[in-house]
Amino acid sequence: MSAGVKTIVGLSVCLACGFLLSILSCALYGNWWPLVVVFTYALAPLPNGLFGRYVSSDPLADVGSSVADFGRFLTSMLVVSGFGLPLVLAHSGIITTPAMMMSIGGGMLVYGTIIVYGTLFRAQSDF
Amino acid sequence: MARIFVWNCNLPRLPSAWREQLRDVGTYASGALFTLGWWVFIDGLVMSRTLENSPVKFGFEDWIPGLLCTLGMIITNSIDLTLLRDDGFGYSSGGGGLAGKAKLTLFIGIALLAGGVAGSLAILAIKYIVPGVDASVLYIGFTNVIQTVCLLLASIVLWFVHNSEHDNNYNFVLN
Repeated sequence: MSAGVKTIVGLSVCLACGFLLSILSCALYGNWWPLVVVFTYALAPLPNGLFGRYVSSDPLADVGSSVADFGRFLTSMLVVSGFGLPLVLAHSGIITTPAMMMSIGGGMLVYGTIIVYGTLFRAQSDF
Repeated sequence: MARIFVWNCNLPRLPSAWREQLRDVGTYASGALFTLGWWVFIDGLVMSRTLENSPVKFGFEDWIPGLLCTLGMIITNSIDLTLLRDDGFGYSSGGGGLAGKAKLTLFIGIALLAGGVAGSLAILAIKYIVPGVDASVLYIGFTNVIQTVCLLLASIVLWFVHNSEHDNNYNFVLN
């Protein structure tokens, strides 16, 4: 039980660090464009969560797997958008390269936290 | 029953757990490639708008290959390939006509994909290479080609993964 509490504390620290990095990447340079990245990463687990639940409700239906595949496609689109947006902004000179790196790092921390939390939660609910 | 695709031969050797993962990973990879292509295109668009006194204007014709490829990807991947196998027997009014329509739709989809790639190459040649623009502007022309090739690869990956899975199911039922 204490290991679970430690995991949750560590994950929340990671989430806070991710948000801190994302906000710093905007605030240090006075340019708030990279904040959009946070929304793409925060929205990224949503399609899998919504459409994946649809599969488990009816495993024999053939429609379910294609709906889940559409969810995976959307998830992948959102994750790659989280990388693509800072890269494009940095390439066109709207934000600086350090801001781009901080934004990508913060976004990856936020998304990784959500993914790890999701897998832990699913493993616990299986038992 | 004639096999339509060559790659059916070696896939059934994979263990079934890998096949499920292949389907998931393939779908993720396809979405990633699709979005990568569109982001490269957006990068070229932003570059062309932020460049001062650019010799070429980024017009609507640069959008057309990517839109064609996206449309072709949607059409190609929304066809159930079992429809193609159904011709020959059964109801001559129902099954045969349906297979013909599916073939025609598949042909239109693949033609849209190939036309998108060819169109992006044509735009690269006509607008960027023949006038002899310098490297930073030439990059904008290449983003179009990269975008359509990424969309083509995404379409191929999605199609391959889904239809190979279907064939494995088919074999599994037969055994």
